[in-house]
Amino acid sequence: MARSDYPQALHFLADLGLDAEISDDLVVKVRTTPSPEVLGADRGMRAGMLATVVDVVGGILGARVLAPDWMATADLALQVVAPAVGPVVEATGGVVRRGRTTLVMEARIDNIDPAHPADRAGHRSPVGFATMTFSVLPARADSPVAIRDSAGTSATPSAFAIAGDGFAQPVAEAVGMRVEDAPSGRVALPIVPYVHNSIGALQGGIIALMAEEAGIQAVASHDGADPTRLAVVDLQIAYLALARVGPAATRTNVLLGDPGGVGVQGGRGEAVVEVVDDGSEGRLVSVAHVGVVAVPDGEVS
Amino acid sequence: MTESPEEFFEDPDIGIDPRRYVSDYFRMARHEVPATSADGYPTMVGRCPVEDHQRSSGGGLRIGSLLTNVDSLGGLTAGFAVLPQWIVTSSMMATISELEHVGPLRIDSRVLRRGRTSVVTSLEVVDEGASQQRVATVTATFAILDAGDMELGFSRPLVVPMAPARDDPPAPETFFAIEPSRGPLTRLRLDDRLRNPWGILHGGGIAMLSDVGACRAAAAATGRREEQLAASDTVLHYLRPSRVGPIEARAEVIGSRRGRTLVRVPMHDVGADGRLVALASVVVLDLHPGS
Repeated sequence: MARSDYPQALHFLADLGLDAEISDDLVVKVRTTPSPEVLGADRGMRAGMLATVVDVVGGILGARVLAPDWMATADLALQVVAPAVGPVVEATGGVVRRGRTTLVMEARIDNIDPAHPADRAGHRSPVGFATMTFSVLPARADSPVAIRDSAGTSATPSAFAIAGDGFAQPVAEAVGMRVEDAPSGRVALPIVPYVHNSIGALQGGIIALMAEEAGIQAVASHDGADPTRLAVVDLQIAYLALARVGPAATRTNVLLGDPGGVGVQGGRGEAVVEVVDDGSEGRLVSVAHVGVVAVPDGEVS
Repeated sequence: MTESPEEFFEDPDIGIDPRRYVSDYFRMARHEVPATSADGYPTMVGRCPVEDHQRSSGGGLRIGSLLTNVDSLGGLTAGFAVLPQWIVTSSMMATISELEHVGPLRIDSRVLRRGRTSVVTSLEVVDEGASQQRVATVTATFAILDAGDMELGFSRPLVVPMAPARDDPPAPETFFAIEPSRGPLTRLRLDDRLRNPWGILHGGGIAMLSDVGACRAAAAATGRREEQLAASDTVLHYLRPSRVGPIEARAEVIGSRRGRTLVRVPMHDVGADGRLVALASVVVLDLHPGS
């Protein structure tokens, strides 16, 4: 199936709402105005949604740099230093290296307040930093040709918007995710077009969201903490295979269950989350390392 | 008195195989566990001591040292999975659970996925001297290359005993020829003994440079002394070979909050037109926040 219509109108990226621009020197900016449905315990965008935004940055860059070839995310690392509270969250990315088989990119993430008088570009404060590696997929007849904007344009323009109706419920519910067993960090969701990537498999940002939720649930259970007071500040994901059938599910191993403590890591829980495709004989599709912190009183949403 | 790296390596007992310089300094014992799982790939186990000259201000192996050992063991694991081809490190994503170590540290390494052009490995580090406390988990990716005329005559299953302890060995940043400095610029001199079998800077040199460079930049940005800081979670991308040197880290603080400073560390080969050879992002922890 040709996928030049990606993302389709009914897609979580459209409901997230993204404005993108790409400059002649291949710097991509993707902006979003986070709605309450995508916020985490720290009142900032959930790490899985931030990973989604930087993955889109990479996708836009990759489409421009690699054409007519295409790409699949091989790994994504996100380190968060402050909550992505907005009012606008912007990821700015560029190519670090283009090789024969891989493309390495980076993106920094900032909060922007366009109304702030500090300067005309709006006040900017750092949220985090991400790097991504993409595997280059040689062009085929059914390779995607572009990311489609909301006006239906199928070329990769210099500026475009992906906009839908917005989420009517928290994003985890909107994508069909359900917590099946909190102590073991098992969450699951069906793989449907709403969460597809450009090649018809589960989108990498949704895998990040699954890892985030699984890590929070497992660490909270391990530590006797309230999961609604935990936030993920580190996500390192290796994408090993495509999840095409579903349901996708997680299994989680808590490494360190002290998110509210005062250890040398500043009180942090850690978990390794494996994402499998239950419909493909439990094939391992991703491994994620998740760092979880307790949100201080007064900063909980 | 501590020897200079040059004096240290004048001792003929250190061996003549350049592949051993780095591993003999870190004294990591390695042994291969023949494949028993369905994927057919062997696993590797490493064991390295935590000696006083290796300790960071965090109390254990500094992260640059830890990642050097991880790189070495992961590389063997990936390399054995692709013989007669060989590998070069592409990236490491390290989550650090504990900075204070008793030692020895045990590293278990296995293949997660062997693809057409790359191998993804998983490594877990525990402190055997502290009831198997978890120290780090790392995902390391290696690109598959034609080995060319590289000598790959390993005796299998591989067993490399722990190298003997040395008198007055240099600190790891001295071993890796990292020049003293303050602030965001840190340089590594690319001595021949730091080259790997491909003839380029050993991946551990890049790991150490990212650690030291990030800590110096964080110290300058936060007003803390370097001794009050320690590198922790690290994401490291090896982009191009470091052939000439010196290698310069041009670190930039992204942000700092509650004792965590996030530092971006691009590294450039100054002698090769300053080309970008590696990119790291490092979380630097304040060991005494609020003090």
